[in-house]
Amino acid sequence: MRSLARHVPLIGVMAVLVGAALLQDPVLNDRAFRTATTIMLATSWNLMVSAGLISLGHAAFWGVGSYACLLGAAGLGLPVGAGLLLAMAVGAALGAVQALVTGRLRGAFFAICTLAMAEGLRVAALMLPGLTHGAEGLFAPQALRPTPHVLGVLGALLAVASVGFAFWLSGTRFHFAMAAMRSHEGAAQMIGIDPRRYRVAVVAMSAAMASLAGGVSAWYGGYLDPGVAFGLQTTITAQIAAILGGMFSVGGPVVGAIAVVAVGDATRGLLGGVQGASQGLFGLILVVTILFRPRGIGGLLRRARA
Amino acid sequence: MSALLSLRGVVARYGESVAVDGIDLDVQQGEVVSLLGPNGAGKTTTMGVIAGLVPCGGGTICYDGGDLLRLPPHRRVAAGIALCPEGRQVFPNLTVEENLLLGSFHRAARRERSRTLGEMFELFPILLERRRQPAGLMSGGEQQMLAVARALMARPRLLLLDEPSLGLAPRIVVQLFDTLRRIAASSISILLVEQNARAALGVAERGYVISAGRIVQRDSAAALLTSRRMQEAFIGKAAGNA
Amino acid sequence: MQFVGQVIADSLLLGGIYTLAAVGLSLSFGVTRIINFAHGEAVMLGAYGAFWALTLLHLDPLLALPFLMAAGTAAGYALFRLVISHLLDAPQENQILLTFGLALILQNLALYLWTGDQRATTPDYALNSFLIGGVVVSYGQLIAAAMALTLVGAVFVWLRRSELGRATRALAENRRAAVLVGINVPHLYALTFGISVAMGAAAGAVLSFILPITPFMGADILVKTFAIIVLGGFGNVAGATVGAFLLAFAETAVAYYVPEGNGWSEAVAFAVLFAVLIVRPGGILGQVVAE
Repeated sequence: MRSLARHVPLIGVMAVLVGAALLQDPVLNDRAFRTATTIMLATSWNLMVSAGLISLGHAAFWGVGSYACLLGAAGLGLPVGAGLLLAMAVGAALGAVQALVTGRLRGAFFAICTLAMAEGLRVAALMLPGLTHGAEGLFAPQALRPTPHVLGVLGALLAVASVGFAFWLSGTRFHFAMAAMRSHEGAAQMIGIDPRRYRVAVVAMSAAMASLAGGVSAWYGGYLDPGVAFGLQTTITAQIAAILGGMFSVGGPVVGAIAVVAVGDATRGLLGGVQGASQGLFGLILVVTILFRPRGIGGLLRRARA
Repeated sequence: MSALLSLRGVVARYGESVAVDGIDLDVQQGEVVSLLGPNGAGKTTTMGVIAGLVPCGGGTICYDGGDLLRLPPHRRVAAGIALCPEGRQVFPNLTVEENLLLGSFHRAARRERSRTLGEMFELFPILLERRRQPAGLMSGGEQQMLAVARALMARPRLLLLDEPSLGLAPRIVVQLFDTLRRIAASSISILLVEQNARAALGVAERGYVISAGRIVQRDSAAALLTSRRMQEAFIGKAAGNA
Repeated sequence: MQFVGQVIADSLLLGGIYTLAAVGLSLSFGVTRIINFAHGEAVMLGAYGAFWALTLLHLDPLLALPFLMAAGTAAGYALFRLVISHLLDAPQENQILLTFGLALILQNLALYLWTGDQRATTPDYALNSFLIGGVVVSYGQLIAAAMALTLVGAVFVWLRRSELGRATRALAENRRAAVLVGINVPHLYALTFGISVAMGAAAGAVLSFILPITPFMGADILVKTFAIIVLGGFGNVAGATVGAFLLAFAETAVAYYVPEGNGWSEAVAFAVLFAVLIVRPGGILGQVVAE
């Protein structure tokens, strides 16, 4: 499981990603950047699922990260680096809150709480224009904003860091703790794991990663409003990528993220004018995957090699 | 005269392990037959296969001249087979009366419901007393009686009883088996699974002994009672209970 | 004094409608133990159904109601047997994600077919209102609430008194025993699911009188329904009713008393959910399964 050799394909993929970001081709950069943030989102979502927690409101973390960066820049003059650190901190804090409030809840009730948090934040952002500029939207201060190329490379490096983190985590005690929690938190307690502390840790880490992705994405896109920040489509992307690629593994979310970005682009290309086409397609993919291949593409790949 | 129920070479699996490994068993019209054996021998699985709860992995089951395996579980009840399962399995939040009404859910039984209900209250007076109480509040023995009565509400031709004495005080077991004798006196055929061999053989005419998924002995009840093997294996244990 | 009366009146009327939506979900979960994250979409489709019935067929939503419910039952039955039945013994993650995926498909299908423009069904009589004891009541609200409570009452009676209703309650309690008494379990599961969809559709038709209809209205309804369940209880009609009225009261109070309350009232359900779970992690009646 831990032998680096088995992960050569993954390392290769990440190298390609960084390479694509480094090249001067704007189209490739854009693809690479979006893939990078999707990888981070998917890895982050996967982290929670590995502990048995389904997040239907991952957009909450993405959104606060986005707002932290842009509000920090607009209000406090924070440059990208500091802004991203702030985003991580805010994200982690929100994650901790979510974990503490939901206590020992699991399954559907946990899921609905995550959804409630994301939607609640969206409404709050809408209703507090004094703070967030509401529906009007918030623009990234141009003076502090790096070029798309720089952001592209930054994004790719952050994605590598995220995947590397997930890989490292999979070798620690944490990994077993999460697997235990996934099957039964009560049983986890019996082998000396305090579910509460692990849950706070897992959700905080996952949230920080998603917030980071949201933050760098906000800088890249340059514009933010409650819909963009907290919209359901972010959560969907995270989920589909992780599930399609294969949950519970490190490489799965990466594979899934690449697939999702590709599918999204293809749909936009072919069915550009059709409203709801890509989201609806994602829904179909989700249903079909759960019905026939719950272990995702990654699962297929693993079986073929073994 | 052909048997009402006839199992030939029946096999049943739980995942990888074989719980029932090719058994032959007959129940004639109006007979009481007992299936005896230790824990885990495959008795409950056999009942499950007959009732349709457990998929049959091989062999044939002939009931009333037809292939039973072709019927889904709910049709088997309509065909006249009622299982009173191990562990009672009453509907705890429904009243005693509602439990009984549910027993006669299938169409044919519904038509005769009032008559059957009266018969059940006569057979088990305690149920009449507790008719409006939630079934889950009754004692183990009372729930067992409810479970048997519920099965009888289906007006079955073949009654399957799985471990009715399990967890009951000896005094209650005696009471219950007296009632079983009364039921047996009507024309219902009964297949009785029991760990309490002595009680079972007191009411059955014939018996099969099953061990590790296979029938290892078949004889009349009287012969089984005196059989040395039986005495060593089961009645010795049961002596502690009854 | 008057103001409070208005709040109470509005709450009662809204509560009736919320009850209908919540009872449907509660019934389906109580029997099949599958949490249906697409329940909000049943409501949404019911609302659109009422709208198109009015627009294309000039059929009053209340007259369209039986047809919508019949369609909902049939669609729910088919969907269960074809797709959802696979989830019966699946891990809860699969249930959540699959039904969530279904919700996504339905939302975007609605978006594609009918665009994101807001619609409303307001038959003429719904706009009239009357004054009673100083409180303004619109006919639309009143009829909606009356219809909703009638349907809930009908389901309650059906569960208590009819053969199938009793069988449904039995199935909810003990699947094995239900098989043993001759209940056709796969069929009854699907039927129960169909009924829950029908109730959702009815709630949607009735809500079309008072809420704007959009393809994404289902998501908020879902959260509200969960808030109701946390407040009052899963798997029983009485609890869902209590929860529904409590939520309706909270939302109405916020809408009236908090500045710009109308915008915030959407967030009330979320706040309620969190608040209840902080104070009573098991839900008010301890019915939420933690571990």
